[in-house]
Amino acid sequence: MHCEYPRTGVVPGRQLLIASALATILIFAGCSRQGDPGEPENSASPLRVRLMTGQQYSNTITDIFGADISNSVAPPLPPLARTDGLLASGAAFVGVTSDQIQQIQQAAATVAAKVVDEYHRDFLIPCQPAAQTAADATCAGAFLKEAGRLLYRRPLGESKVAGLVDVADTAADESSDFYAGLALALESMLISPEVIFIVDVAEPDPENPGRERLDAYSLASRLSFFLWNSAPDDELLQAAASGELHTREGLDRTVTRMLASSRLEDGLRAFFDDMMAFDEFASLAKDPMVYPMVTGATLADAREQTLRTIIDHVMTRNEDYRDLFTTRSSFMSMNLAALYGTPTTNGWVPYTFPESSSRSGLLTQVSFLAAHSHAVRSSPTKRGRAMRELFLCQNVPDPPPNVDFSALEDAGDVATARDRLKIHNTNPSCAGCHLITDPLGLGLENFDGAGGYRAMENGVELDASGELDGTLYDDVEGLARAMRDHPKLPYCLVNRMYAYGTGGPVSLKYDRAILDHFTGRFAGRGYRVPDLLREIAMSRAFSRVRPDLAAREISANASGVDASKLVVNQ
Amino acid sequence: MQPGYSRSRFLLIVAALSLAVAGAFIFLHVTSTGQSVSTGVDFEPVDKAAIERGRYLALAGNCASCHTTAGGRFMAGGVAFETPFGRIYSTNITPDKATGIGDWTGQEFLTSMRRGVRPDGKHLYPVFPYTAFTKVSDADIVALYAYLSSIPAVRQQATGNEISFPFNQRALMSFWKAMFFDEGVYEADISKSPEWNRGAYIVEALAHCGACHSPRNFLGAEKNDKALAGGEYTDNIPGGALRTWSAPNLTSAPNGLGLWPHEEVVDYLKNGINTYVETFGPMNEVIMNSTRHLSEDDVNAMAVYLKSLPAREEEYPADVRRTVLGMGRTVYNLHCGTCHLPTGLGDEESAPRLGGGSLVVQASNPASLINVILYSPQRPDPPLPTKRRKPMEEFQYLLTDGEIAAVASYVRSNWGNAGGEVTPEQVAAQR
Repeated sequence: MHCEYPRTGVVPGRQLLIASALATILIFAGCSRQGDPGEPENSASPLRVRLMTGQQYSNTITDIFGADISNSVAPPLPPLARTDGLLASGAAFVGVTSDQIQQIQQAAATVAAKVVDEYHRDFLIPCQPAAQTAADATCAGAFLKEAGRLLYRRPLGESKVAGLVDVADTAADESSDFYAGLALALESMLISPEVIFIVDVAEPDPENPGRERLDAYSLASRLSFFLWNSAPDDELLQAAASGELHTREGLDRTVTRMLASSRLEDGLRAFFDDMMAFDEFASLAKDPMVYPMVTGATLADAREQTLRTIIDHVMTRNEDYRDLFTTRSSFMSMNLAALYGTPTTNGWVPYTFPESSSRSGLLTQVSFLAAHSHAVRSSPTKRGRAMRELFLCQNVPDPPPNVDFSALEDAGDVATARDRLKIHNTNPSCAGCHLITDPLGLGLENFDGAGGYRAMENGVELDASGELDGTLYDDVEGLARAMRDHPKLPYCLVNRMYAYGTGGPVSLKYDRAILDHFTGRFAGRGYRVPDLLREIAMSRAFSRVRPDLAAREISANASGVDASKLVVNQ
Repeated sequence: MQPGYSRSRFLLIVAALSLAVAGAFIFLHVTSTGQSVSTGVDFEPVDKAAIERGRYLALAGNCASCHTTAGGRFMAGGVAFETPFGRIYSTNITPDKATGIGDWTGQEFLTSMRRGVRPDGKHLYPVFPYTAFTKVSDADIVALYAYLSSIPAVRQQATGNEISFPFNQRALMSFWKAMFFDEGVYEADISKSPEWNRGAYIVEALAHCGACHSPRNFLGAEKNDKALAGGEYTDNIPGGALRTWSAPNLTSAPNGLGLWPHEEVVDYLKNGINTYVETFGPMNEVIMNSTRHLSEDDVNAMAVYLKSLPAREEEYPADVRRTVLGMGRTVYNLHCGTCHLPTGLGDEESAPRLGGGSLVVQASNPASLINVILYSPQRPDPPLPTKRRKPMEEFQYLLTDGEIAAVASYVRSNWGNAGGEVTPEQVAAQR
């Protein structure tokens, strides 16, 4: 059924009028967002105000003005605190200091200057001024109205546009330069809190009297940042304007288009990069004396290898998410080839690890192994902790502040990490946490601190056997299978993906039922990630607003930061 | 602490009471209702010493916890008690003449304590624990009367009870009393030490510990042969909702106070914390409003008496299935062991011990243990001094019924514990 706004007009004859009215009702009824009948009745998500991430800022500038302009500035947004496993969730609890506003302003000035310079103005500005040395309200208005719609992610009101045109005209008159005036008006938009913050706006939900839903433009933004990690494009904003997004069929059509778009890869890469905490690569380094083959380029390629593996597996091939933890299919680059001990050619090429290899799944890729190791040696503790926190959404407490490392450091003449970590078992205060990390990490001890394979350590054959929450394994392949089959693995992805999509951490108090629902649907469809994306995007929970009281409670629980204070004075 | 009754026995109680109604009416024709006890006790003169002594006795009896609502006027009543028979509210025991006990004579006050009968001759419900207070000495009742007569009068009408027929017929209590109420002052056991007798007097009479810690029969009366062997009642969980709680076994049973040395019992009553546990939930008001205010001698005497109680066990636990233990071990390691430690012994900075002495863990009825896991332990307000780095979190949203049942079973079966298996249905009942 094709859904569109019912057309109004003068139709002669009472019967035709009645027929028209009935048809209108049927159209609305047919297009009504009934949602999945299996979805929990009261599912909803909080109304949020969240800061754009640096990547979202760059993607937005790229999509509106081009990659060269985006690349000319470093994203000026402040670093985010990882919250409940995601940097993106930390964006819901961060303000901006006056120093950071200065950086945002400098980036805005640079972008604005680039947009109006002689190399870009002809194809970024849809008109030419009557004279370059004077104001031209008509031309300025045409540009600012359209650029503002894309930057603010909703149409600007007439008074807002008039105010921006006034800024452009005044500056143009003072400088005798139309483009300088236009740049100032654009700069003022680029530093607007409504641009750098993604602000959810609610409206009454006609299908649920007394409840609220995201307005169409907020829903468009939520969809776009979720699936594309960027601001909505023109077509998505048009779908919002037409009311299509609030119809079941219209939303389905939009989500289908977005999932088929090449921009989906940007969205998925951003999500998995965040979920796997790859931001830590920014400060990751290995001691060149111990690992001479590992350079910055090696580590950058390790990160890229894993992202390529994930995208190829979950998006291109649309395979079972869980198989990521056992797949031998990957990609290889020259920088990585030496570390993996395999020949390759220039550039990125598909590569399948042989059955005889111990490389089986994401846990055995250099990115995971190196990122969760020390600079000079492996760390079963770090690796075990990362497995639990990144992929199973299980929390491992930080060491107590008064922890005594001396026993571990003076472990004596021990050959392997397994022997060294036995020290943890001698102190119950240490054993509590290490019991849930070390056995997992020891399963990866056949890989050194840089991710290179080794059969022995200090002349002693390594023992990779262990247990993951009741599943015993003898080697790394067994560990990979145990992780692949862990019941919390898909649940954790659902948790993170729903949090990522709705812009903040989940609250099990409110979201447990919807997470169980998504997990069930995810399983029912063979753990296909695109299906999960669709399920979340199409859900009532995604667009329906949870009452304020609950949202405030979650905000208070997740962080001491008051999200309503967007700008913080230092 | 509030006395309570097993909800599961409600239907049985209704049936039994219905059958008993006919007999009760016959019985009533031959049994007089409330007449004052003729003891000739002298309630005059009242001096400061008597008032002060009465104040101390009111603390020992924990009168304020039951007769003062949160944020309400002192001793003005209004605290609700949920029972299978309905909701019963405590009364105003300030000396207000219109709404309190200001018009009561000393003799009438004594009669209410000794016999559970009001000045108008009607029976009191045993939610007011006169089954214990009957053992309080004349001299102490005189002192209590003096004290209650000295506190500020509060004009506050008692809230009407919400009890369904036939339980709202107070006259039926005459029948109940005939079966289950033994009137009489505590009589010292001369074969025991004065210290033991003092402890017995406080535990059995003033502090009415059995109201919560003794199991009850199908008519809601304490089982004398299982006295202090662990009971259950209905009370608030964090947030105010009502749930079943289980009170631990205070006898020398393997899952009772036999696990605690004398000094640990004293520490707990006096400070609300010992090597094994910190007070939480309904016990908070007992510690905070009562036992911590008692003299060293009296707390010591209570411990002497409690430690002398022969082992009485309510139920013997069933063995825990291996599959449940396996799942429980995983959940424990992930969510509990990082603070309670793999040894189950805890640490003063991380969490209390769960092995070898936690009465809550091993109680025959796991209701309180489940409540703690689901809702986290509700600590006293204001909190007691603690070295813990952080309070325990609630798990009601994180863990399923099956997971909580498994971890509770695991905890109840390790480190010398023998509490038996907990079922998912038991967890579901506490949600």
